[in-house]
Amino acid sequence: MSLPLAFAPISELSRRLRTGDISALQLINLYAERIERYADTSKAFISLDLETARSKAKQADSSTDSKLALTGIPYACKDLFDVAGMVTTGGSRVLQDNIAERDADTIQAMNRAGAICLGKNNLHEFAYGATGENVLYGTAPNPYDHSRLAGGSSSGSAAALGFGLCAAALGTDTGGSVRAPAALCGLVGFKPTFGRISTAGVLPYSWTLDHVGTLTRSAEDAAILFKALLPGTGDIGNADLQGKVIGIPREFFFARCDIEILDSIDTLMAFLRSAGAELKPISMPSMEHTRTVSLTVQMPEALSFHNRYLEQRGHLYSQDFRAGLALAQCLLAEQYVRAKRFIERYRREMDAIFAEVDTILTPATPVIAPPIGAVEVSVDGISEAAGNAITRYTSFFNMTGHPAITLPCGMHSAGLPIAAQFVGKHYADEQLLGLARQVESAYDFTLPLPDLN
Amino acid sequence: MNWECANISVNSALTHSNKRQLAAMQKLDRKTLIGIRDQLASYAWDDAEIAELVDPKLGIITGFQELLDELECLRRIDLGSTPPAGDISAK
Repeated sequence: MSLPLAFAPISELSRRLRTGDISALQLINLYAERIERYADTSKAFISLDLETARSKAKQADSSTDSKLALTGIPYACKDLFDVAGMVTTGGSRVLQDNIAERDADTIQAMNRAGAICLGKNNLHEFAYGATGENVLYGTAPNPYDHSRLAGGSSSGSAAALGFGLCAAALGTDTGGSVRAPAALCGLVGFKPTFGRISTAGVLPYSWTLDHVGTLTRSAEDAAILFKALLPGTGDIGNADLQGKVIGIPREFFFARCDIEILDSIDTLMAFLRSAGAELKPISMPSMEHTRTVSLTVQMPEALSFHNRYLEQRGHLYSQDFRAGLALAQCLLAEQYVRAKRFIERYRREMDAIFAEVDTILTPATPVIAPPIGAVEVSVDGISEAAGNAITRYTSFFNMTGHPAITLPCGMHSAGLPIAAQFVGKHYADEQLLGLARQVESAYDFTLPLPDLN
Repeated sequence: MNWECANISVNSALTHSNKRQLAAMQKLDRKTLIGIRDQLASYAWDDAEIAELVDPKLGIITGFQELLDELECLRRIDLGSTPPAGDISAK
């Protein structure tokens, strides 16, 4: 059964564009109509440039040049990415007049591949938070249950795909801000090896931890976008699971986790074994202080960037972000340096683990999408801040810089998606994407589309 | 590899000097943070924001004192000559 066009993956859309079954302009108009229809519900977009999108679509339709990898594919980007001529707000009152003079490197790469940007997505203000709540632009809901969070900080990007408003989206991932919302919304979230995709032209949150990532409908689409963002990348085919050694962390990553999520991961592990993979228990570095280490790095870096706006526009920041910046002001330089030394230590310990395994498997999140407005969530009787829970299994890999991808692998009885996370070796992005493609095509699981009504 | 400092509880491995130092670490107070704001290069945070860091009431910041306790714990872990993390190079 074919998917409705608005929910079709890039691979399918490209095929239909190439055969002339649809035109690029028809595709833009389809998404434009849906963006308008679901604007109030989805809260996915902060700004749109449909006029430019239609103009580019007409050019693509009339061009006789050979088609590029993403010719005519409509996408969106988190409102941290500079798109020349559009305002980059960061989801904040602070930057309402911040018109970009040039495209971010990644937007340039998407343009070169023929993709067409529809607009800029909602987010947690300046990416400071995993719930995606935004007092100015509203909180993007989960497409599977509108009373629940899409997750963040790339909340609007996840909602845009979930509501069928674009074919793919670019986001940023500092602690899981691409992977977690993708997981909660039944999408594929991919963050490459740290530094492999340029962050130039993207508003920074934490230089040490920021990654540009992608939200897509499939692992195959994630591979297509990765190739577009990193020209020169070879073909990324399905990887053979036979003989692959997959590390299963003994501690932390399966603790305090929703039982139905654990059941789904168990089922996935059984599939991996049956496909010839070896599942090997591994001991990860101690996770006891990892959130402290991450916070001690990210907050001073955020303060250092936002200092340029604080004097004149400090009153325009939301109260919670100001509080975070004030906290950063009181941390000591030696504490910051020490935290970065811990990150180096984590990387070295992970290098030793990756000498033994090809990839690591964890649940993507320990919880399903929390209700909008929930301050805390509880698992196994232990309460935790909702944002901390959402990123509990993802944030470590921002410190270590390993590529990681989250894939839907189950449906919770509450009607919300469940996802797994695969983590690869540094610079083994292509192998990780190949493995994800194989799991996607061979694992017998299909997520139902959300009922948007 | 075990390099944890568990929950800042002082164990017998700590020296007498360490124990004395940890015991001497006082709870952060508002006056200290106002001093940082006024006497070191700092943005002029409101008094209310400073007060919130020390004694959270609004639920915006929680656990700054706990963060400092964690950082004190991290300070006690010997990292040898491990440098700060930098770029990740292709191997």
